[in-house]
This record gives sequence, C-alpha cells and structure tokens, in this order.
Amino acid sequence: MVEDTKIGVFLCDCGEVISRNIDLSGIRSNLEKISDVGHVTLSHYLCSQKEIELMGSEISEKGLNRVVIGGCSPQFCEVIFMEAMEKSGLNPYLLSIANIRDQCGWVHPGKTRATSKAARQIKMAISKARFLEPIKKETVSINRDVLIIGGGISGMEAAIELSELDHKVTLLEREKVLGGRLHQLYSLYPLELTPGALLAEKIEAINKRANIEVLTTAELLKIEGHPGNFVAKIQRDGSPITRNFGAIVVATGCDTQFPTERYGLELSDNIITQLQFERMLKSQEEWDKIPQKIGFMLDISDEYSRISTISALRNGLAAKRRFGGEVYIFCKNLKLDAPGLEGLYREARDEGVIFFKFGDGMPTISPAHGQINIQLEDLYLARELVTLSCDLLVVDEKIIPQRDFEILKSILNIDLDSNGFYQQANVHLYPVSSIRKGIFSAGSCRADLDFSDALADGRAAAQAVHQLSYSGKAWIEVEKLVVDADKCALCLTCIRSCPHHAIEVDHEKQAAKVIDLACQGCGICAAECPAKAIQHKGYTDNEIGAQLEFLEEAI
Amino acid sequence: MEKKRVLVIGGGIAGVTSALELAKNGREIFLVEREPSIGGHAASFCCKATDVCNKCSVCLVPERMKEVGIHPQISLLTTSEVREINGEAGDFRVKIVRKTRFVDPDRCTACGICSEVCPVESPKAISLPYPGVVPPAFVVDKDRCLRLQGQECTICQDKCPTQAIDFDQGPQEIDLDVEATIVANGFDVFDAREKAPLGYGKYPNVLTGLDMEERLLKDGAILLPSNGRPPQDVAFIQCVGSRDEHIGNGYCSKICCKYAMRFSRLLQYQNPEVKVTVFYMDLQNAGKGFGDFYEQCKENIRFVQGIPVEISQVSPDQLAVRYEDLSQGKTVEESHDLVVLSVGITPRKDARNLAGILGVNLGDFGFFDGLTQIENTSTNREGIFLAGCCQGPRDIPESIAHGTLAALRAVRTLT
Ligand SMILES: Cc1cc2nc3c(=O)[nH]c(=O)nc-3n(C[C@H](O)[C@H](O)[C@H](O)COP(=O)(O)OP(=O)(O)OC[C@H]3O[C@@H](n4cnc5c(N)ncnc54)[C@H](O)[C@@H]3O)c2cc1C
Ligand code: SF4
Ligand code: SF4
Repeated sequence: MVEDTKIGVFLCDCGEVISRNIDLSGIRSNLEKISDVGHVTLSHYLCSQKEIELMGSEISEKGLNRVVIGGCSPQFCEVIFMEAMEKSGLNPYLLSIANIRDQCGWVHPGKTRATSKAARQIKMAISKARFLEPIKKETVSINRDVLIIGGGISGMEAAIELSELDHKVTLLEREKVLGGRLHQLYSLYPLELTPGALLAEKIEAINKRANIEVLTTAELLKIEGHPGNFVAKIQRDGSPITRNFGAIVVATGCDTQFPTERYGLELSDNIITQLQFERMLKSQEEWDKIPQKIGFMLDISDEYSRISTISALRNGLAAKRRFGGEVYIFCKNLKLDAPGLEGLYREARDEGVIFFKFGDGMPTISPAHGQINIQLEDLYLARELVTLSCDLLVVDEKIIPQRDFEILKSILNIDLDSNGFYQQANVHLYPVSSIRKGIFSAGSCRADLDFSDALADGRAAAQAVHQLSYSGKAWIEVEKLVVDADKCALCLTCIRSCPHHAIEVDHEKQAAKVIDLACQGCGICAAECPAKAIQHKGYTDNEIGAQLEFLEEAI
Repeated sequence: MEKKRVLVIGGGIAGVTSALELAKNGREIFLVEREPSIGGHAASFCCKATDVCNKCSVCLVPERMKEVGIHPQISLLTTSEVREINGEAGDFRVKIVRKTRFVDPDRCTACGICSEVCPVESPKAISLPYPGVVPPAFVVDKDRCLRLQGQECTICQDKCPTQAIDFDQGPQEIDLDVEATIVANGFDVFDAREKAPLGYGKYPNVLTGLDMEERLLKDGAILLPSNGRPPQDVAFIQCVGSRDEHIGNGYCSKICCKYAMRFSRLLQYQNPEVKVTVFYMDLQNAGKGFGDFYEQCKENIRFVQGIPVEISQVSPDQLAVRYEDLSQGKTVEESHDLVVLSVGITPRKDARNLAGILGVNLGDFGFFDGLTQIENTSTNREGIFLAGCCQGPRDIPESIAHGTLAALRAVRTLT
C-alpha cells in the first residue's frame, strides 16, 4: 500500500438509471466514513463536460491521489476520466472503476440486494485503488526502415508501396533475380498483362526508387534486437552485411507438389502439371505434336484451392484458342468466388470448353498407347459413366510450404500453422501480423492465395508496417510489467511462456527484462513466474488480493 | 502540420475500417452515414459459433464500431448524405445534408427513460436498436412515433433528462473541405421476391439468409414462422440472385456458400436431430481452413448438386421443393419445413445516383468500377476511392482488407 492515499470517489447516476435500483445516497454516506476517502460526490452525469471539469478541480484542490468511479462500464467512459485525471496532474492509471450500472443496477431486481452488491463493488474498487501504482508513458523510437524477405509479387508490391510511403526498404531475394513465380506463368488472371510484362513493370518501379535496396542471392542469417529496432545479419554472395530495421515482412512464397499417391500415377510426357503446361504455352518450340484433346483435372490434389480452378480456366481457354481441338475440364466444384471468374467460366463454355463434374468417386486415369483414358461418373449426366481419352492431361498440384520455412521461422522466432505455413496472429483480424510485433507475413507463404490476393496481401503488409512505424516513434506504456530483480531466479520460465517473445535476460541485473514495445500486455509471464517476480500493474497480486479479501469479508 | 481531412461515405465495416486506419495515420475523418447508426449490414449479423468458432468474422465488427465511436479524430455524421462534391483531389468541397436524427447522440446517455414513457407498445417507437450500437443513442421509429405520424405527443421529449430529443429541428446543411473521399456505401441484399416461384414473401416458412442472421441475433434460435416450433427439416437453396445471367447478376456473391454451411452447423448444434439439405451449383469451399470445415459439414449435412426452381406450400407447416435430381436425371419433389434462400450481394439501388454525384464510373453489374482490376480501390476520379462491397462482393475480412487498402491509397494522395 502506498503511504497516505487520499481517495476521491465519484458516483454517477447515469440519468436516473442507477438510483432507481441502488440507494446511491446511502452508499455515499457510508463511504464518507472510510478514513482515506478524501472526497465523495454523487452526480447526475459524471461524463458531462461540467462534471468532468468539476472532477478535475476536486482532484487538484483536495490533493486526491486515487480516483474511484461507481457508474457505467469502463468501455464507455474510462478514456474521458483518464484524460481528466491527466489534466489535473494525476497519473491516469491511478483509476479504478466499479461498473454498478451494467453489472448490478441493470441486472438485479430488488433495491436492498442491488444496493448491497453495488456497495461491495465500490469498496472492492477502493481497496484495489490503494495499491495502484502509476504507469508512465514514453516515446520510444522506431526505425522506419523495413526488411522484406522474398522478391515475388507480394514482396515487390510491399516494397513499392512502402517506398512510396517514404520508408527505406531492403528487398532480399534468394535467387539471382526478382520475380519468383512470375517467371513460370504464362498468363495472369485477371490481368491482360503477361507475367513477364508485369514483372518488368515492377522491376522498373523498384529500380526507379532510390529508397529500395535490392539484395539478390542473399539470405537472412540472424535477427537480433527488438521490434522497432531489429539488427539483421544478411549473407550475400558469401559476404556478410548488417542492417538495422524497424519491421520485417516475410514474403517467401510457396512450393507446389504433385501428389503421386493420390493420383496413383507418375508425371510423364503426357501427364503434366499446370506449371509445366504454362511453360510449354510460353515457348512455342517445345511442342512436338499439337495436342488435339487436352484434359484438365482438378480437385484431386487439393479440393479446396481456388488457384487450380483459375489456372484451368485460363489455360483451358488459351489452349482452345491456340490449338482448336477439344478441351475438357474435369472437376468436383469450380471455385468461382473471386471477381470475374464466373464470367471467365461462361467465356470458356461459350468457346467450347467442356466441363465434367465428378462427385466423391475418383475418376480413373489410365495411360494407354500414348493416350490417357479417363473414366468418371458425371453428375450432370445422371451419373452416367463417361469415358474419354486425351492426348494430354494437365493435373493440379498441391500448394505446400517451402522447405526452409522451418529455418526462417526459428531465425525470426515466429510460428507456423498446422500445415506448415506462416501463422497469422489472427486469420481474420490481423491476417498479415505474426505473433511478434514488427514481423509480418504476406502472400502465399501464409495461405493458399491467388495472384490478386497475394498482391493485395503485400499491400496490406505495407499498410501494417506503415501503421507501426510511420512517425518513427511510438507512444507506449513503460514498465507495465515489472520484474523484481531480487526475486528473479532466472529460471527463464517467463521467456519460454511469453507468446510474443517480449522478454530477454538483463545480464547486468541478472534478471528477466520485459521489452515494453514488444509486450502486448497479456500477463502470462506474471501468472507463470514461480517466484512471483513479475507483477502486472493494474493486476498485481496485491491489487487482486485486496479485492478478494474484501469480497470474502463482505459476503 | 495541419491535419489532412478525409470524407468517408458509408459506415459499414469497410468505411469504418478506412476511417480507423486513416485516423491512426493522423488524419481527420468525417464519416457520413445515411442511417441513424453505423455498422451497416454486418452489425445485424449473428455469431455462428458452435462449440468452436466457425470464423464467420461477425465479431470483428462491434469492436471496430466502438473504436470509431470514441475516436477523437473521427466525426460521425449520421442520418446524413452527400449531395454535392466539387473541386479536385487535395481540395474537394462537399455539401452534406444532415436530416434530423431526433435524438442528439452527443447528449443521449442511453438511459432508456424515453422508451419507458413512450405510449406506443411492442415495440416502442423509440428504442436502442441493439446493445452496443454506435453512436450509443436511442433511435425513433418514424413509422410508429405518434408525433411523427402527426399526433400530439412530446412525452419522451419532455422526460428526457438531458434534453437530447428534439422533434422540431429541421435538416442541416454542412459544408466540408476535404482532401480525399472514400466511398463505402456497401450493397443491397438480393430481393428474393424477384424470384417469385421460390415463394418468398408468400410462404411464411421461406426465409432468406439475412432473415436468419437477424432472427438469430435477436432470438438466439430459429423457430418456424408458421407455428413457432423448432424446424426439423431445413433446406438451403444457394445462388439465389447470384450466378444468374437472366437477371443480369452473372457473378458469384462469395459469401452465401459459407454462411449457409455455418448456419447448417449452427442449426444442428442447437438441435442435433434437425436434418439439413444444401442445394448448390458449385460449393465455394476455398480459403484458409475452409476445406476442413467443409469436411466436417459433410458428415451430417446432405449436399445436393442442383438448384430448385419452385417451392410450393403443401400445408401450413410443410413446403414442397421441386428440383432436378441430376443423379436420377428427372425432376423430383421433396418436403421441408423450412427453406432458406441463400441470397447474395447486389449493388445499391441508388448506386447510380451516388456515382453521378461523385462523378465516378459504375462497372460490371452496377458495382462501382475500380480503375483497374488490381487497382480496384482507385476510381476514374483522382482523390476518390472505393472500399468494400460497393465495388463487388466481399466477406467481412475482405471488406476490412479493402477498406485498409483504400485508406493506404488515400494516404498516398495526401502526402
Ligand atoms: C445474408 C448475408 C450474410 C452474410 N454473412 C457473412 C458472414 O457470416 N461472414 C462474412 O464475413 N460476411 C458475411 N456477409 C458479407 C458482409 O455482409 C459484407 O462483407 C459486409 O457487410 C460489407 O460491408 P460494407 O461496409 O462494404 O457494406 P455495408 O455493410 O452495406 O455498409 C454500407 C454502409 O453505408 C451506408 N450507406 C449506404 N449508402 C449511403 C449513402 N449514400 N450515404 C451515406 N451512407 C450510405 C449504409 O447505411 C451502411 O451503413 C454476409 C452477407 C449477407 C447478405
Ligand atoms: S505480458 Fe505477455 S507479452 Fe508482455 S512480457 Fe508478459 S508474457 Fe510477454
Ligand atoms: S457463394 Fe455459393 S451460393 Fe453464393 S453465389 Fe457463389 S456459388 Fe452461389
């Protein structure tokens, strides 16, 4: 407990809503008897401008050093009260709120019992207030420079976007050239532009910007430091480079794999993958013989990928236009839930591409005499058994993680999901954030994304980075989690349990140390520490204990 | 530095996201919303969790709405519409008309006294649309309020302890100077009455996906409108108003397959006995984690490929669904007690009007047209950007991403 607490209690009636069910005046006279309560008021609307100003002057005139409020939910007005305290020169964290409206007046019938509960809630808030400690806020500097790992479409897009927002960017690429998968593709739905032309456009944009540094044949070896101020050790052509960054974007793309076991077949001259087909479409020379009947097989490697539908539609149409002949698309479900795909599907049908739909029964695929025979029960033909033969069968592939995700994951200290892709902090709310502040992932390294989505992802990552570091500084709560160096046995439990990697060893003090900018305030460390060496201000053992003790006593 | 000002039109999840992103980037935002409260469609949706979260993303909305409600850099202009916009990027002059809201959100403390004294019963003519509404202020139902129907009644106005209610105030004209504008006026749900043979509006037990959302949010469960009992045998009909060239909607709405599957799971979670059939053309089951969800759905839900064209009512509580059974090659009829039409997303009916005011183009199907397919937050008019379903069908996470991107584009023109 702090010496000489002088607590101001402000009760609010919220119109006449609270006093209808709770005897506020009764509570008020009881509270006045508590020795360290220096002031009690009852107001009609505490959140009104007038009352707030009054509250401010009471704080300064009476020298109150703790504020307790009995009223509505802190969700509504907490910020207003904190502001008022700050204006009167009191640390805004010395505030404790009892929600006697939503949690009591509104929900309990019967004035006597509601009043007794409200009185207890307020007294609990008072006992907590006695132990409250101020929390300081400080400005810390954040490096505005960004490292982007991977020079595919998501990485390049993020780089261009960030550079236009005036961030200095280092774009790291393992290969000799930028572009990633763009090198392998023949066309890019929904663009008219060829992948080659798009790549040229992006590279030109990158070269034009003085604030983008491209490091090809380079790899990340090590990351030190903290969010906002990382130190990266990079290796380029065998020689080391060190750079400082505030944030890191991982955009290393994905790999593909033909699942031989699912098909029960090996790839061959006339059973090829979409990527092989694209390569053949790109270079005219490779065709020995123009295929007259081409089949595209979908939904066997991966039933749930939109990429295969898009590839089959655009490559099927391209084949039809280029070679005439027959084009078949065999599928279970066309994934058309992206802009323009329904139109592309119609176009394909209008131009004579024939679609076959199979259900849960797998089609039989049997190569014979240079042909591939396909047999399936077609759903649209009353499950009639359809037999067709193709000169060329283009098969779908599974999107899989790259082999080195595990390595990069441990360098960056972030997580992979159950399928081995980079894990988002929250798939929906923070799709490009990782569990660590300042580290983001974008593109097909985090999910099975088609081209437009991967591009959009790169931009989203850029926005997230900009958000974090645009001003070059952050206004943060400092020492919200305090480590008592005398109690800390350096057992490292906290370091292992902090999901956000916000704790490190302070070698000077021989104790754990919380990095304020990285800390997300979850409090897990405080709960886990066996020596109780970590306290979470606002939820310290003392604060909670005082409330509990009081709760028991009152019941 | 003087704060750069941005206008956002429409307070659905897309507009809300753009506003927040820009505010966090130090801009000053005017968020113009036609309705008395923000949130758009998604604010009337229900959580579809069973014993696990089914990732419908509806919970992302209230948190952001609340943030907008208290953000010091965002001014909320509810019951307002943009009438004129002149000038160019960096220097737009905007005329806004703010109709009276009757209840001043800055004064209303949501104490509820007005509703208590209102003489109109079940429902009251003045109420809080739902807990957590932003701004947290009561709303007058114009069709039920005696005063607004021409009778003498000022009870609520007299009793309001903060004098927040004022029936006499007329519309207000507001002039603003802004540097950029983000359009996020959203979508209209397809009106299932246009498909008369499906019997929506005629048979009480034919509901739409939107009805399901609203009923679940309000009552926490689905009961048959005809008799108030829980349904036993439910059919979902996909692609109602989507993927349909005949009515000019040749696009997939993206959201209906997913919500139908989530509803199906929820119905069976609430009552494991209930039978569910989903009639579909192609199931849109792509997306991170969605394949696994579909696999679980397949265990207890019957998926039938083929879209019914006609529904009739055989008894007050039974509907007959006629469809072409592709596996048998003939038309069959089966009975269900509840049919849910999975309606999709269509452009706002007044999109053309707004497009005219803004001087931006409409594209395919009547959605706002992005500058290119990948620069789809930019428009033909510099300084005016698009966010969310006004540009084409999107789910909530995608609307959030699009709203974020629009904000990013706007930031770029401002710097
Ligand atoms: C039945 C149904 C179920 C769905 N379920 C899900 C689901 O489970 N999960 C999911 O992720 N998505 C779902 N969706 C999709 C989701 O509704 C949309 O992604 C989301 O609501 C789009 O937000 P928005 O801001 O673009 O549009 P809206 O929500 O339509 O918001 C637009 C806002 O703009 C206002 N406005 C309109 N015109 C003007 C004007 N001229 N001036 C000022 N303001 C204006 C409107 O009042 C509204 O507040 C569903 C959709 C439907 C139809
Ligand atoms: S509060 Fe959470 S984020 Fe902060 S240091 Fe402790 S465990 Fe890490
Ligand atoms: S999401 Fe499903 S129901 Fe909706 S339009 Fe697309 S295919 Fe039809």
